[in-house]
Amino acid sequence: MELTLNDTGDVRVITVADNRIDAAVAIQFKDKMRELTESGPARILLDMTNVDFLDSSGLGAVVAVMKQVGVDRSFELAGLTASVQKVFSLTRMDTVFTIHTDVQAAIGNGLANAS
Amino acid sequence: METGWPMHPEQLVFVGNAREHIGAFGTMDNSKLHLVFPGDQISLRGALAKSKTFLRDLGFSQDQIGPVELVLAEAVNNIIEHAYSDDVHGVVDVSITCVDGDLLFRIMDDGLPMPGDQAPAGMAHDLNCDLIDLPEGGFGWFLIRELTCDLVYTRTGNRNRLEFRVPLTGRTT
Repeated sequence: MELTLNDTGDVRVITVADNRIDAAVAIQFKDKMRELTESGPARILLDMTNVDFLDSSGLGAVVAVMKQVGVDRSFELAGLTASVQKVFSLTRMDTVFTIHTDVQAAIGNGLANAS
Repeated sequence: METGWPMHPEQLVFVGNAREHIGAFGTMDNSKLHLVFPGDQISLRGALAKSKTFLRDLGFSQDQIGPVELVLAEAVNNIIEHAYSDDVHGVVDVSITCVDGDLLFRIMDDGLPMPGDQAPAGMAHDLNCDLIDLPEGGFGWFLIRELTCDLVYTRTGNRNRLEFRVPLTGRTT
């Protein structure tokens, strides 16, 4: 489970490099996300543009990450593909998460200043 | 046991104990895909990939294939985690049949029976709760029920059989 990290201003953008968050990697995803979100900016954005498949294990792991980030910081999602969006909407988890079309929409011009 | 393509006729017959058929192989004629593979996550990924190729070759769109992949993943994940309890390396048998544009599925395993000898109802969660109380699991059967029709679970001897239909996008029956 490969995740890349980019802090731009007050947002930590974590990009999922793998194209599946499924039962095979859900636990690794959750554990790596815990490491990457333990400290750093209070606003965390998960870029899921590369993810074309998410099953219930993957969904559970994403929920676990949001719970771990907690109420004092924010955890948002960006770039959900159609299949992944469908899992969120069927389970109504799209009412629980803040979901952006893409990273650009989430952080505006912050990308222009990314190092 | 020899695996790979092309198959010998005797390998196409699913008889006896599923554990005898170790190694992934499949048959693909015009309208049916038959896969037998070990009950582990990596083999499941391979089976899902073969299923998607089969459906693409039949002309199904990604919008139609997406729900199929999800349902298969959920059903087989349940077999791996519960029927085979993650301890026992059992075998999973998946058939996908396309009949008049309808997709029929049969999934078999030789693991433990489903609780109460019936497929779970898969109730939706109430998400109107505090963050710390949000559910992290239990979505699988809900998703299966949402995306399938005519779901039937039967058990004969040691064998579990799950059959269902995935209606195509735009169809409500």
